[in-house]
Parts: sequence; C-alpha cells; structure tokens
Amino acid sequence: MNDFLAITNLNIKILLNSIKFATKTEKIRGVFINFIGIIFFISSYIISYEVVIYISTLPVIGSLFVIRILALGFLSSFVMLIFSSIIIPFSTMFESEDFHFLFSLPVKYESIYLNKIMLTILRASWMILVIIIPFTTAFAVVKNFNLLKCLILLLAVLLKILIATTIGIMISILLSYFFPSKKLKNFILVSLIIFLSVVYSVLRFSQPEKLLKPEYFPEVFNYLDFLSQPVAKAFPSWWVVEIFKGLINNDVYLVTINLLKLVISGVIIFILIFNVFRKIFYKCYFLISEKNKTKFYKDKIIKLKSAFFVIATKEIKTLLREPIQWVQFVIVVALSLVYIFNISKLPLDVKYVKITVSFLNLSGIMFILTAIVLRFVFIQPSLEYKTYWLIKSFPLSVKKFFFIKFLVYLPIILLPGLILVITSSLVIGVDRVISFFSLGIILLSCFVLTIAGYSLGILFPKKDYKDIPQIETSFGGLMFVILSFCYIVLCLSSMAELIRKYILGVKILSIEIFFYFLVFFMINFIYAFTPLYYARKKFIEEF
Amino acid sequence: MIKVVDLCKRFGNKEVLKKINFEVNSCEVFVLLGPNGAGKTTTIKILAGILEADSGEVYILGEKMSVLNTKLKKHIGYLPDEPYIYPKLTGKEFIEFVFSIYEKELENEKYKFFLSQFELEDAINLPIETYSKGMKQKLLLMSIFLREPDLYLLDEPLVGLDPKSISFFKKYITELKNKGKTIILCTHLLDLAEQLSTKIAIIYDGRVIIYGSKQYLSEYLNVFSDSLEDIYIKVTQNKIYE
Repeated sequence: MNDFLAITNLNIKILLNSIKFATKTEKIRGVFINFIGIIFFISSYIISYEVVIYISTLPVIGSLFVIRILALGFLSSFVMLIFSSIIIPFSTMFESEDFHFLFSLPVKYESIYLNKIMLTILRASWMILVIIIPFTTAFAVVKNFNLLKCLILLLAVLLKILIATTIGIMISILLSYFFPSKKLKNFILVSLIIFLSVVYSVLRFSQPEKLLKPEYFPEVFNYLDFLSQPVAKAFPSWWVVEIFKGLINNDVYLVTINLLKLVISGVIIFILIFNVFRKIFYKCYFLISEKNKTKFYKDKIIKLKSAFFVIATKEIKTLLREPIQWVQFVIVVALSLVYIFNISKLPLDVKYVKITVSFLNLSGIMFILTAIVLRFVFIQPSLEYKTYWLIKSFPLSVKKFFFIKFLVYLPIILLPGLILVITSSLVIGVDRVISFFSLGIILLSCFVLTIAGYSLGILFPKKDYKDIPQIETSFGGLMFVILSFCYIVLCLSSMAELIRKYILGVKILSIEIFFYFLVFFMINFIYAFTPLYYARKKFIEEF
Repeated sequence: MIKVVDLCKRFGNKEVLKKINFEVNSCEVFVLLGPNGAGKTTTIKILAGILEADSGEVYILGEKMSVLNTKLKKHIGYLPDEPYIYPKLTGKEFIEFVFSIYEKELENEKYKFFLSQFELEDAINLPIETYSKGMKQKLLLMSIFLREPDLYLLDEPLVGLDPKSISFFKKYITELKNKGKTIILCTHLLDLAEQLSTKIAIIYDGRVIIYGSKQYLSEYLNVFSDSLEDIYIKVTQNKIYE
C-alpha cells in the first residue's frame, strides 16, 4: 500500500510541477486550453439543457423521448469508453516509459499494476466525463433533482465509467496476450477506425432521422412502443437510465436494484482485473516488450537521386509504413461520402437556394480540408522534430526543403478537395459560373491550407508525443483549427457580397470584382505566408 | 555475491544470450566488455530484475533473482544505459521519491557532499526536463551513491559526464570496492575498465568468451602486452570461443 501511495504521490507531484514550472508560453497555452474547455463544458450544458427542455414540453412523447435520448447518450459514451480503454493501455501500460525504472525499484508489482490501471482509467475517461457531466446535469436540473438524487446519479455514472474502462483494459490485455506484437496497437487502431467509419456511414445512409417522425410508423402506437423500448437492456448504461427513471418517479426499489447491479458488476470486474488480469498482464508485458521482430526492407543499390526524389520517397515510405496515418484516409472517405449524401438530401429546387447552398458548401469542404491538413500535414514537423538536425546538416536550403514538403503534401489535399467540390457542384446542380468559382476557391484554399498547416506545425511542434492523435489535439493543433476557421469565415465573407449580387441579378462593376478579389487574395496571402515566414525563421534559428 | 548460471535470453528469433556463466565476489569491480549488441545490457537488465531470463539462473547474495524479487532489489543500485527520469519532477523530488521507495533516510551531509561533487546545487530544485544529458546522469548516479546499496549495476555510467565528475566517479568506485561493495560495470571505454576493474568479462555474440583479471586474460590468451585493447581485439577479432 505504501508503494502504491508513493507512486500515486509521484504522479500528483508530476502533475503539480507541470503547472508550477510551466514557462510563460506553457502557462498561456494552459489558460487558453482551459478556457476553451470551460466554454465547451458550459456550452455542452446549455445545449443539453435547451434540448431537454424543448423535448420535455413535447406532448405525449416528451417524457419518453427524454429517456430515449439519455439512454442513447449513455450507451454511446459507454461504447466509446470501452474503445478508448482498449487503446490507452498501450501508452500508459505496455509502452510506459517508466516501467523499467519502476521494475528496478523494490516496489511490489501489484502496486505498479494498480497505479497504472488507475492512470489508464483516468486517461481514458476524462474526455468523456467533460461531455457526460454537463449532459447528465442538464437532465437532472430539468427534472428538479435534489442534491441526494444528483449524488446518486453521479455515483451511477461514475460506476458505469469504471465498468466500461475496466472492460476496455481487460480486452486490451487479452489481445496483447494472444497477439503479443508491438504492432498490435496499430492493428487495433486501424480496425477501430475502419469499423467506426463503416458504422458511421451505414448509420447515416439508413437515415435515422426518419425514426423521429411518427408518420414513418404505420400506427402512432408503434411509434410510442418504439420510444419506450429499452436501449441495450443488458448494458450498465441502461441500468443508469433505470436509476434516472427511478429518481424521477421516486421509485426506491428501481434505484436500489440498479445501483446494486452496478456496484456488484463493478466489484466483480475490479476483482477480475486486479487478480486474474494482473497475472496475464505480467506475462504479456514481457511478451510485447521483447517482441522486436524487425522487418527488413529490400536492400537496394544506392543510386544518386535528386533531393526532391529522395525526400518525397522518404515521406511516402514513412506514410505507408505508419498505418495510423494512412488509415485516416478511410475516415476522410467516410466523411466525404456522408457529406455529399447530406447535400443530396437537401430540398434544392430554386436557383437562389442552389447558389446559396453551393456557396455555403465551400465552407464545409474547406473544413474537411482543414481536417485533412491537420491529420497529414500539420503533424509532420512534430513527427520529424528530432531529425531536423539532420535536415539542417544537409546541403539543402530551407526554402528548397519547404518547397519539396509542399509539393509532396499538396496532392493529398488537392485530390479530395477537387473531388468534393466537383461532385457537390454536380449534385447541387449549379450553373457553370458558380461551379468554376467554387473550383477556384477550393483550389486556392488547398494551396493555402497546406502551407499554413506545415508552417504552424513547425511553429507549434509537439515534441513528446506517444501517438499521432496527441499531436492533432495539441495546443498547436487547436491553434491551426481556430486560425483555419477564421480564414474560412474571412474568405467567404469577402466573397459574400459578390454572390448576393449575383443571386439577385444585380449588375456587378469590374472595380467591385477587382476589390473583392483583392481582399480575398490578401486574406489568402496573409494566412499562407505569415506563418510560413515565422516558420522559416524558427526552423533556421531553433531546430 | 553474484552467480550467473547458463543464462539464456531470446528476443523474437534472435538469441541474445547463449548460456552466460560468471561469478562476482564482494570487493570486486567486474567489467563487462564487448561490442554493440553482444548482450551486455541484457545481462545487466536480468541481474537488475528488469528482464526475465528464458532459462538459467541468477543468484545474488545467495538468493534467486527475478523480476518479482523486490526484497533483493533493495540491495541493488541500477543505472540503465538509456535512463528515463520523470521530466516534470525536480532533482530533489526525484531523490526523495527514490528514498521513500527504498524506505531510507536521506542523510543531509551526504546529500550536500554529492551535490557539490556533481555540481548540481543550482539545478537540484529545477525540473529534470531542464537538465542536460550529463546532469541527468549525475542525478541518477547521485541517487544510487546516496543509498549505498551492496551491488552496483552501472550500464555506461560515464556517458555525458564532465571530466571532474568522471574523476570523482573513478575515485568513488574504488572507495566503494574497498568498503566491500560489488560493482558491475558495462562499458566500451577500455581505459576505464583498465583503471577500475578487478575482473573483466568479454562478451561476444551472447557468450562470455573469457573472464578473469587482466593479468589472467593476457596470460591465457598469450598477449604479451600491457594493453587491454590488444586483449579485447584478439578476443573479438579472432572470435575465440571458450
């Protein structure tokens, strides 16, 4: 127990010191991220509250609908928690940097294991907690729960989270035991991404919005019956919903029985993970850390090639050998398909609606492009951070190096950008002028976002990362998304007046066209070249 | 003090240790020499209870060593080749953490002595992430020396150290040996091995090719030279097996 407390104390000290010894920049970043977090937390609460209030007031179906939404929210968070807890142990347990150090100490293995389990549960669940707490609070506030009821509900939610994360960790340990390979994490991540992309696309194409409309059901009775059905009855997420129902109706029996179910399941699962899985983990930790089968690539004769060719080949090889990177194409494809599908379902009969939708569609495409740049371009400087000394030691100018990088990554952005803009223009059925206008804007934004993405990646590198999503969600990633959002808004705002006049059929003067395009190009120029200028400066001075 | 019997270890398809055998007594500085990938670090890790051997046994103080033997680990001070220290802790907090784990009282006089020897006074209250590689190495050595364990397992201990610290290290190791401690050093520095060792083991391709005092090695191998370099090259180039 003393060992466990000592290690826990160490983790708390590490956390406190990261605040205490933070540099000025880190402090600003911290405040900024916390500010965004608080905004997110409050807005989640307000949105949930408004939705629940609105639904509660619906006649007949209101109360059923509230339960249904709560059940779906709890179920999805339960499944998400299991998924994230399958992945997180790889960084907190299997690839933990301090494991060797802790093993060299006279610390009981049980203490190390318990500490790592706790750490994994915390890391896997904090993000879900930030969403689920305001979501649940909104329901509790609308239903006028007193403090005791709120505490019971909180306890139930926490137990559900504990059960979900523990199940995820157990799956992760089992998988590692049966397939002891360092590539297992990548394999699981790739499988999960493909699985979720397929599920998301299938769900969207099945048009679930129909379920919210009683007219799609043969009888109103069927609709009410559908709404009152339990959602995944055997899952702990439903037990929490039952507790919620019990608290509304002051049904002590319903609350107690479901709380008992949660407590007993929690205890059983915790006993399992602490006793049985502790032994399995011990075995598979060594199996994984000792499996270092190296894949040998074909030994080819070294020939002199151009700098572009060498760097481009290196980039492509790196991309292909890192499945977590290339599998994200699957997400992009799924998102794009759903996006086009959504557009095709819009009622677009009138010309001005078509043009307006087509214009707004540009912002959608630019957001998708931002996400692609974040996933493929922004992360590159962080991935390469420790090798920049090598690049700088090469007889290669910074300008040329940046240019090569740009040429390598531009096609990755250009291809989906062009496909999306051409397909959506065809689906919407706009005239040739708007089609070419949209094409031009997206073409330019591909160039600008690629340059800005790489430059901001250099300006805000995530030096110590365990996996790629950590780079994407870093302070720099957040900055890139916010700046790109501003860029998209400014770009479209600069063109909005032109489009308005075009829709109304008002004559547009050449000087007006020149002015609006000048503003548009200036915005593009500034967003591309300001970060590039500072990135080049930083690259020369720092790395 | 230490007895290693038929130690074998395999990583995937690669056999890293092929029946390693040696013995080390108290008051000895035992140096493991060998080319990169010979199996030195793996041997040290198994001795420190960080890795489990596939077969064979390690006895320390008459007790069988394993990853789970926490009792035995209290007698060991281990310095890894690629040390990881919590970057967000200060040097002092790290030392305190180590001491609380080993359940030892930190002696203030000694603490100050090592701080001044390693010139860490100004850095000890700063986060470790601000330390240079050498400073981290000094901090780790300090955390081990302060505890005074019975057995020192030091893998490439001089990496990143400045000349003053190297000189102190050498003197202190000799002092420890005279106090009856056992030290196992893993190094590529032949002059260090020559200066400090009482016994040398040359590991090559997962086997201990030969071990003993420098004099014994040169006589056994018929190397009529004072240089350890000549002995090392003869063993590794001619691939003398047993």
